[in-house]
Amino acid sequence: MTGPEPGTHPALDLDDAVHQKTRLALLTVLDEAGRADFPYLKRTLALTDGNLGRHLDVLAQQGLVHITKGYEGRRPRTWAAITPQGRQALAAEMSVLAALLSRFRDNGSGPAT
Amino acid sequence: MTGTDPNQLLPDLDRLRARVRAGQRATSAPMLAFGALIVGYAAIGGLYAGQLHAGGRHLTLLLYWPLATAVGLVALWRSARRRAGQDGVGEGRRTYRSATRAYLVALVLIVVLFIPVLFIGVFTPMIWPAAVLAAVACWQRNRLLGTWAAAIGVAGGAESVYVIANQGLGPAWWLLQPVVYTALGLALVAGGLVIGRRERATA
Repeated sequence: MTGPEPGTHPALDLDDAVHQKTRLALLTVLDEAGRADFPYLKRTLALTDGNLGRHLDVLAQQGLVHITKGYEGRRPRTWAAITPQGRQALAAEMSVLAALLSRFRDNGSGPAT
Repeated sequence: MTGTDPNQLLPDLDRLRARVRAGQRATSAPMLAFGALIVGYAAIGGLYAGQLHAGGRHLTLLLYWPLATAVGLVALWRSARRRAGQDGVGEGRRTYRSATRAYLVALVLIVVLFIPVLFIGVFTPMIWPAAVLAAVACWQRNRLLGTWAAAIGVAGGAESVYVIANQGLGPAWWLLQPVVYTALGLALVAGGLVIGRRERATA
């Protein structure tokens, strides 16, 4: 993703795969934690198994997260880790959101502080 | 996560990051580790005060911080790994493993190239742990830990300046010094326990 051209609206640069709020939250948690297991992500984001699995699949298909399935003792364990592309996509999304917010405030439509 | 309005979304994401950091015990763990090491330093300093000649005492204290820092960082690394196994939250991008490696490389360079730095641990003993905590705080972008590191550094530095400026201080001061260091170490441990409780509630 490249920066917005002069005169274009920053919203045009939002990446659908990343901008969806659950996926954005997943990438944020993984950016901070590096990696996290399935139960931790479910608990932190209050998601169901199916919902979490579906969103992680979308992110994995885009190469933004890497899923590792394995066993610890007899217990199956699934880890999700953010990839360098995932970090880049998140950083790009955050800069677009910041640009949107700044534009929103410059237009005088921001909340009274 | 309430919506996709950037006005709400950005603070929500910041809160989510804070929650992950709370789960990692990003602030309380280093405060507890280095608070305990400061108390250990005070105990060793107090134990040897008046019993060993200055040379022997200085040699012991000269070695304390370089070794204790390595022990503290390895302990933090192991506890972060254990937490990852138990709670499922990773160590983050800036791990204690990298911090330990960087510290050991820096220590070798100090020993080879600039050995007087080691005397910081003898003559201004609280500056060493404060500097390590400040480096960890910068490394992990942890403002609260940085504030605690600055407080320990300022308090410990002021004490050292006072001692150096008053060379004629009697032996009573040398006996009191471990009490001052113990108080600083316990303040760090107490702060770590309070922050740890908050982190557990947040995570």
